Amino acid sequence: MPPIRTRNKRKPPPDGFDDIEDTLLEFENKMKDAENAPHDGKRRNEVLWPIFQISHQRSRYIYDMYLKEGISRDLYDWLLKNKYADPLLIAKWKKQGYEKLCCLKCIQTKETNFGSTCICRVPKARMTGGNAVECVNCGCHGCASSD
Amino acid sequence: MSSGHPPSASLPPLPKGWTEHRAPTGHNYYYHAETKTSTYTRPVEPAHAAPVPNFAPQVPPQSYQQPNQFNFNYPRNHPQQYHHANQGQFQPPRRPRHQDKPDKPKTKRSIPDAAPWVLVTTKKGNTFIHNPETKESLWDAPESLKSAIESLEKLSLDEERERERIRRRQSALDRQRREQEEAIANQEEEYEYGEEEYYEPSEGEEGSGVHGIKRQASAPAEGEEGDYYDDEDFDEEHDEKRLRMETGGLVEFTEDDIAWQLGDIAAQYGLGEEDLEETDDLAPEDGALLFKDLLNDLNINPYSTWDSELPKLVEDGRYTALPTTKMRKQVFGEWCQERIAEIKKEKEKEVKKDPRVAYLAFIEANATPKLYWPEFKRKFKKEAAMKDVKITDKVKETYYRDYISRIKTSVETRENDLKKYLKTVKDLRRVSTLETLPPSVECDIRYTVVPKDRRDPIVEAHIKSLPEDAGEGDSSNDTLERQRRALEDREAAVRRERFYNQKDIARGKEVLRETEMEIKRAMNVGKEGLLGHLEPAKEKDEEEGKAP
Repeated sequence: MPPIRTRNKRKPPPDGFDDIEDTLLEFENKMKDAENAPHDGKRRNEVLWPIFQISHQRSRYIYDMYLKEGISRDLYDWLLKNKYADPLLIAKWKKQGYEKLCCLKCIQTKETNFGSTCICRVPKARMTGGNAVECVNCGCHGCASSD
Repeated sequence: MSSGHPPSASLPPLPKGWTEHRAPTGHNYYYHAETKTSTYTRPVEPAHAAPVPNFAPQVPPQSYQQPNQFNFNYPRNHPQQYHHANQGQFQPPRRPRHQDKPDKPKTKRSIPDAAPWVLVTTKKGNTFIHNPETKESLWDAPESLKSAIESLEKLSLDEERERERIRRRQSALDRQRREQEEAIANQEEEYEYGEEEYYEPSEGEEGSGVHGIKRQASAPAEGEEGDYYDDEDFDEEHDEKRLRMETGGLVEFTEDDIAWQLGDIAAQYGLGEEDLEETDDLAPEDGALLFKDLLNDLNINPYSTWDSELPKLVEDGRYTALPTTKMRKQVFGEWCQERIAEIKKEKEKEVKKDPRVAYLAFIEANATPKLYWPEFKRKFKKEAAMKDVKITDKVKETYYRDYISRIKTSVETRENDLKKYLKTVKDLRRVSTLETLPPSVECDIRYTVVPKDRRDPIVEAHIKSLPEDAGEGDSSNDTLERQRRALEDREAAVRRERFYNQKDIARGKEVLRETEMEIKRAMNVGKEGLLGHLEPAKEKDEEEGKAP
């Protein structure tokens, strides 16, 4: 049986963790609330949207902090290792055209019938019809880099 | 209405020193700056010597009597004073545009029974009459119009009371709605005050024509949307906004009219033509600076997110220094980066303390032999010292158990232990004090376990007993010693060198002797000739062949 890694037993975080601890705790609480929120009256897809959004925000926060040099490389790696942020999503943000990507599901072409990406990847300028979109995967309103 | 403004046509002029103001509720009140008294009843000339001192019922109600902030001279129609009162927040030199902003017409009402004339109220609450046909404007209405204006005013006063009643009824509802809107708006990308809609139930009942009868002197000099958003009085502010919304649609001047009247008013204020230019938008750099100022003033946490800090910012006037949320976010990002760099620098300067010191201090204060480690841990799990992740649980436990086992022994034993321990410590110097003990001492359980009042004298005594040469005072001794040791080293090295040299020479001599012997042997040729040399050589070869 693999060892159970609890918060107290894990390797202590590198210096600078206490600076961002409060904000991370806020995200954690938000996530807990979103997980426990009632879903009556919501569509099936809609249930997961807040989860995706909070996860995105938290990843963005950590990545921004790293870029602003608010946290050290060590701490950044530690956070990724301890799953505070989604490293795969952050990896996409480093690619041109994916700077604002909302979630990995939205660029997964294999899951769509015609091998296309999600509607939220379409730039606002190219959209016909003035209706606001909410993508099915994560409720994104549009995450094209040009928006 | 300021004293500079022509008095209303119907009322006698105010005695000297009195000024007329409009409360946010719509009532007029009068204020005497020198005696600092205010009254709802209009003071008249004969009574000017003794302004009424006791008029408890006439003091404006508590709702808009803000301690510290509300001052009866609180001049909605004196923008300059307003800004001085808020200097901390507004910094007048940077925002001159509010101070000498030209007055603008706000509402226009036609005067009944005097066909072409209209009564115009400006943003600053001044009123004048205007004839659109002859393009004539007058501060003082001629006698023929006075009665008409008076009736109009009376009508408007009734109207205002009615409105007031409705407004009170709706205020709770409105506030609730406003809060909702704010919550929603926080999530929106574009957060503009001006775009907000307000619930206006009385709109339909009264009809658009009714609005014209409102003599809206109180509707203050709200230059741009949101600029005056202070947290002084939510309700008041809200009402003003409502009023602005109502009256906004009523200004039906043509371009010509407005230009002409502005010129007229500007002349009254003694302004030049260039002052009439719209100075609404700050340069982006200034806006960014102002916004950063706001962030600095409000002690925003740079390690936080935009979304969580936004509610603190929105209420301040400088929030609108930048026009769009996108720009605000960008400036926020820049500011965060700068601030983080500053904080980092400060942290580098600070002396780092061993985390174990705090933990040991905590143990000293709270540990008792009655609690086992798991119990102690459970009891104090919320304490900062116990949550400190820099010390592992194992280390914490060892310290605790050690502490408990030692605390059970007598104080004398513990003291002896400490004395023994101090003798082994090498970090201690003659110059160190109780405050600057090396971490190795401070984090040792033998040091912690002795009560503070008993261990301090021991440590002090020990430090005093330390030999002088350990300190900085006897540095000359130290250098001599070092020189001596260096000399010894050098001598040893030289001796070794000489020894090797002699050995080399000896070996050379040996080699030389051997070759001489060989030559001698070679010269010694007997009767056998060369054969005598060969034979022994062969034997030698054979011997050598066997040997290996």
